Amino acid sequence: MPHWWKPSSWSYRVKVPLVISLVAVTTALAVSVAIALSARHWLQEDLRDHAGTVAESLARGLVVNIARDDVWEAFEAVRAVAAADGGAARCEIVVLDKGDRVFVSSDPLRYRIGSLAQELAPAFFQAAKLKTTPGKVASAIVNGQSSPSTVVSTPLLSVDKETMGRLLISYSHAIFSQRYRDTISALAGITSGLVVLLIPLGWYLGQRLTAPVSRVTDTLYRLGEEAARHSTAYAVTSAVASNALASPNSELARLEHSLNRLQQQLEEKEQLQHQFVAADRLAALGRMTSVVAHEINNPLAGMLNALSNLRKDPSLLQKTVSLLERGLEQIRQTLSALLIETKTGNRPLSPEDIEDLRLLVNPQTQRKNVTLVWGYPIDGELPVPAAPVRQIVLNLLLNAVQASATKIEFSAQTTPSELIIRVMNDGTEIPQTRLERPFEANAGEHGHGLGLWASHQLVTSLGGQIAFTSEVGRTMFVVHLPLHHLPKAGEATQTHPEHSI
Amino acid sequence: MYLLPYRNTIELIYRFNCFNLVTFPAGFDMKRRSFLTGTMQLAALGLSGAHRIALGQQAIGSRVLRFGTTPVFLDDQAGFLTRWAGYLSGAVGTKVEFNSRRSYRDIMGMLRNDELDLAWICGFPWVVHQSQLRGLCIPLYHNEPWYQSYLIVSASDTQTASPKDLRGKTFAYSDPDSNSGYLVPRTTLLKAGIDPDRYFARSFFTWGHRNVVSAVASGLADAGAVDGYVWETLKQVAPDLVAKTRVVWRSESYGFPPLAVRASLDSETELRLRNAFLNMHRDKDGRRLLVELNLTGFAAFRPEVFDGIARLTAIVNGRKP
Repeated sequence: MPHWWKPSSWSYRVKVPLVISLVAVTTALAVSVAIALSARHWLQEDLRDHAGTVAESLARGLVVNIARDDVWEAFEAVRAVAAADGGAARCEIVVLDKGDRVFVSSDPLRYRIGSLAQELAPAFFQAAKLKTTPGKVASAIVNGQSSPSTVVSTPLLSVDKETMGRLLISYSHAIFSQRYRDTISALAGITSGLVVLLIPLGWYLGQRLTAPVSRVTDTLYRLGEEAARHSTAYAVTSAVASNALASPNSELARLEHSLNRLQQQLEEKEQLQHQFVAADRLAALGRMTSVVAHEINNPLAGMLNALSNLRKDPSLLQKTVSLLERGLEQIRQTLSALLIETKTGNRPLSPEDIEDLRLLVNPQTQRKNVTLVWGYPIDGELPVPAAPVRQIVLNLLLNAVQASATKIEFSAQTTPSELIIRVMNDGTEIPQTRLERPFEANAGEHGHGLGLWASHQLVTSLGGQIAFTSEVGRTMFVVHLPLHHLPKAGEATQTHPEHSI
Repeated sequence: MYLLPYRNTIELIYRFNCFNLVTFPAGFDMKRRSFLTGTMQLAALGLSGAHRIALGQQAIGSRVLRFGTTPVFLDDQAGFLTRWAGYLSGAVGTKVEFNSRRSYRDIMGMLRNDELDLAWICGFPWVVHQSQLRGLCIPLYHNEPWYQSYLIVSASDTQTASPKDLRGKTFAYSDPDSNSGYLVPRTTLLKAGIDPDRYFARSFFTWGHRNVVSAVASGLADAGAVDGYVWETLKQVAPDLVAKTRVVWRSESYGFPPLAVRASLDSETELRLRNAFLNMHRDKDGRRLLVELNLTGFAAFRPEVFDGIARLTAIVNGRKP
């Protein structure tokens, strides 16, 4: 059951685009808010500057108007600035004369000619009280009845610096607020536009970003699922089964799950491989059992025969003892070769190991009546582990005997860095179907089919290579094993678990 | 000594300044502006003498007839003036050009200094300066050479009923040389024993009848004296503005602002001019212009029409010897 309200269960493909979109939108909003706040400040500054400039330019004409007592011209001038005609007034202007009475105003109904400064609206009254210096424009923000206003006050000076009156301009912040609202709404429009653009863009980018991850996750997950379904050998642990049922929603959780599972499967596989390798060793022994039994039985029969003859003729004692000795020696040698074969350990390869192999394979070649050409010109020990090399070569030899028609050849040589072993037989070539994946475990017609696979595993584990050529009448396996490669005892134990008969 | 040149100079500087105030962008270089103003001042002062002579000679040459207009009618409609000038040029046979000035006094000065050939003046200046001018014709308003002065107040003012209710109010005059916008209201008060200079809390000139209506409509003035003909014409042209005012008192009828020519104008040109005006109502174009002027036609000049204004002038002159 999907827990869609839990973000932790959301798909990576949803979360990443969502986060990108969120970041984009948040940034857009943050920038908008910052601009909005700045805009308020700028508007206030602009208003103050504007008011100051208007006051300065208006003052020049008003001085003349007051000097000539020209109310009408002054009125036209202030009204033009205040834009009282048509629409809302931009500002309110009051011109005070020397006696602080209204000389003219942009709104004569509110600020009547001749009224005193004290009778004006609070904003203007406070503006009138502003301390002014000649030639400068004083400004302040005052709180009116309804909304705050920016007021400016400037003295009206004649050319000879005589104060003729005072100019007061009040800009209500209501208009300013209107402009601010317009700015905000414009900003909101732009931001929404951006958001509308950014969300799909963020989503698209997020999707692009997560697509490879999603593919990997899917592939891994499918791999795990398929492996679990197809391989009965792997579907062993109940933990895996229950986890598979849980089927996590989040891609990352799935990825983790799949990885764990694959790791588990790899571990199991490796364990199985070890088991197979060990089983293969025993299987090789099994394949030799009848021959070995024969090898033991023959001398035993000879010895029993000799003992029977001795009983009849005690004079044969010396000869019989000698015969028994040779017979037992033969049995001992055979058994010793077999015993060594079942043993593992970390000891270097000696010529005796190779000779043991010859001893073990020889009866088989004799029984099948094929010639064994043996060439091992190496004296002394080689720095490669004896047990896996013996298993590799024994496998190859047994396969060769099985495949051969008249002859098999074994040869070895060393280079400064490698031991090269060749095993050739003149039997029919390896079928085309096996050529493609020659070292894969395969239950063939002959034998258990694990021989080549186990050899390949062992060669690989020793850091070497195994290859073969197969043509009519000549199939040859070549094994390259690096010298100076003696794994440590612990590693050897791990890769070749102890086994004994 | 007449102070026209000086006044013109101040006027120019002043106008220039005002213009600046409204149109120059904030941040306009103040130094440059004052420099320009100074230059204008010098130029205006330097020009006034030579200028007058040159213009006078040009007028005598009759290449162009210079027609001065005053706010006795709605002289701020440039499109109309162009059409009228075109019509008159055709009718007179000489190119006619309009010259508008801010005040009656400017136009009167130009006319008496031969800078203009003819002008539409007010009855009051006519009475004062008639010796230096020749009457050309009198416009007919509703077929009569008469008009009235109106006393107007704000439409919201329902109390004021006559000029006697204006004590302590702010009053807007049109022009110190206007009959309806200055002479009539003042003499009316004087006749009632009221000193107009002390009667109002504040009074000012708006230099135009239309401005009087604006001043009263906006509340700048509580009341104003306006040419009745202009108010009625404005009622058709700018009904919204006029609707904000209310006529509380109408004067008796006075001679309609006449057209006059400079004394030195040759009689042939004067005759052609007079015929052009008197015959305006006879053709289609002329009638269309008359409709725009809100007039019915022009009549030959009769000095006795302005006897009423002359009586008022005597009252004022008697008060101020």
